[in-house]
Amino acid sequence: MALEDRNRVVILEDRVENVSGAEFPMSFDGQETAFNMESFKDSFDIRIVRVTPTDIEFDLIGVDASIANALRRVLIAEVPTMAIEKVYMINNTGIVQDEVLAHRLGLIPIKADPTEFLWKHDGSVPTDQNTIVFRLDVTCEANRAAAPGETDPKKKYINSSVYSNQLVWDPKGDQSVRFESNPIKPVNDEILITKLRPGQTISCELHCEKGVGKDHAKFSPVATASYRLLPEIQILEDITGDDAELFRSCFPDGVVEIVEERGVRKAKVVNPRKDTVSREVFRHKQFEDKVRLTRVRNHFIFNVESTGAIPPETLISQALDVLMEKCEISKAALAAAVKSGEEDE
Amino acid sequence: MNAPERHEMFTLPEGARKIDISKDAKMANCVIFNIQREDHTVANILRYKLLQNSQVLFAAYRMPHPLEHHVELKVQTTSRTTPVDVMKEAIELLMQDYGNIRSAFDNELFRMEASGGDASMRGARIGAGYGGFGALDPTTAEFGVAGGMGGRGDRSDDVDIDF
Repeated sequence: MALEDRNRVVILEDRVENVSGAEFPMSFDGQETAFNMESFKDSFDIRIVRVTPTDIEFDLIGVDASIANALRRVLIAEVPTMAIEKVYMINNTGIVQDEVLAHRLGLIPIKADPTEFLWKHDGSVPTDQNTIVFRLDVTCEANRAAAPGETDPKKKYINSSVYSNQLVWDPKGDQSVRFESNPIKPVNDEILITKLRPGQTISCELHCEKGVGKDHAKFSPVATASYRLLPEIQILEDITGDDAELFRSCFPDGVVEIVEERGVRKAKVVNPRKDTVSREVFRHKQFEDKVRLTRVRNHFIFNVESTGAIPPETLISQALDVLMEKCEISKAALAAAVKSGEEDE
Repeated sequence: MNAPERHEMFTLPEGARKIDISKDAKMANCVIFNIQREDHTVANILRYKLLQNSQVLFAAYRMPHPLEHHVELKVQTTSRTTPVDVMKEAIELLMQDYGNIRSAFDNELFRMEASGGDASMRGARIGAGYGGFGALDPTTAEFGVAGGMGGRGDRSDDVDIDF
């Protein structure tokens, strides 16, 4: 296979070919597949396409699938965040059971920088360095000012719906000083926690601790992190006239444009990145041999959506740091294993 | 009732070693690394880096059972080096790789912030209204800050929302 083609995953009508790379030793005579720092530096690129307060889209080019996948896995499961871990129920006369309420509270994203906090181990004392304390005190009452015959619970009762903005932060120790400029609160104020009716009350103390997504999904800092490979559409033979119009309609808007060349209207691929690779082209017999759908094997388009607790740029940096730390741990463990192996002998 | 503790997935028990090395009896220069409390994240990247070393004849990993949280990495090399040495090299190279990615990412971010965001939006349309989904925090004026992001200081800017 040509060097270019080795880099492509071919998408056919009913299957996908060349899925796994042939990048192992001795797979191709005479072709150099061993690692080369220079060629890595040449082919590697990272481009940030879009950054918003909640998501980031960036391209990772020239790395292998295992590296990109490791980054994705770490983003989902191993970047630490703060989340409500312990709920001390003082009073709950609402309809929703204690444990269900506690579960819902745990899932609320908390806007606190996890790097400012230490890990808390089971059984150790909660301190201002490893715990954030919130209080939730809500009582529902009838609204005397409401019109008789009013049916909307929001008008008929006060506090009939409990929202996340009713979580009150109780700064302990030096937290009020440390977080003076950015007080700790839930990321969103409009998360509905539970509903109450007059006479019902909820009173509880919530402790937030540092954790990772591997432990419980509530600690995951991303709404989701995913990547896709860059699609590529190769037109092998010119597609002209009405066929060109049909060809254009087979792809999402903006992928294919019609250009006039010497009086002939031809189809031209302008932005394959927008393609969703639906393979609609293959449903039309006339395009069977004229088009080749592939994906570039080492061009990853990452889309990371943060829950809001950690800004997306910081998230990627932290994920890369976590990965490096894992390598460090492996290195130290390997040294220890070798040493104890030598001692045994 | 029978569910194991979630933290068992990543906390090493007392006295256990993180990596156990055992020689394979049947093949020469072949070693099996048993890494405790790790999963595909680390094992796959180690395997990939090992395969890029021309001295490695065989490198593969497996997770014998998904409920037991350890991976086995089997490495065989030519007689010119040892599996432990190539493993050390692989870890070093991986750290360099991720270090490069990290610095490239930081540079790219810095470049974007410096140029105010708009000019460096390669491939993105200004006002690409995906910012509409930024409605995660509706009580502040942050959502729909479409297009350029010049770092955190810019978030309060008034920008048109393109839904």
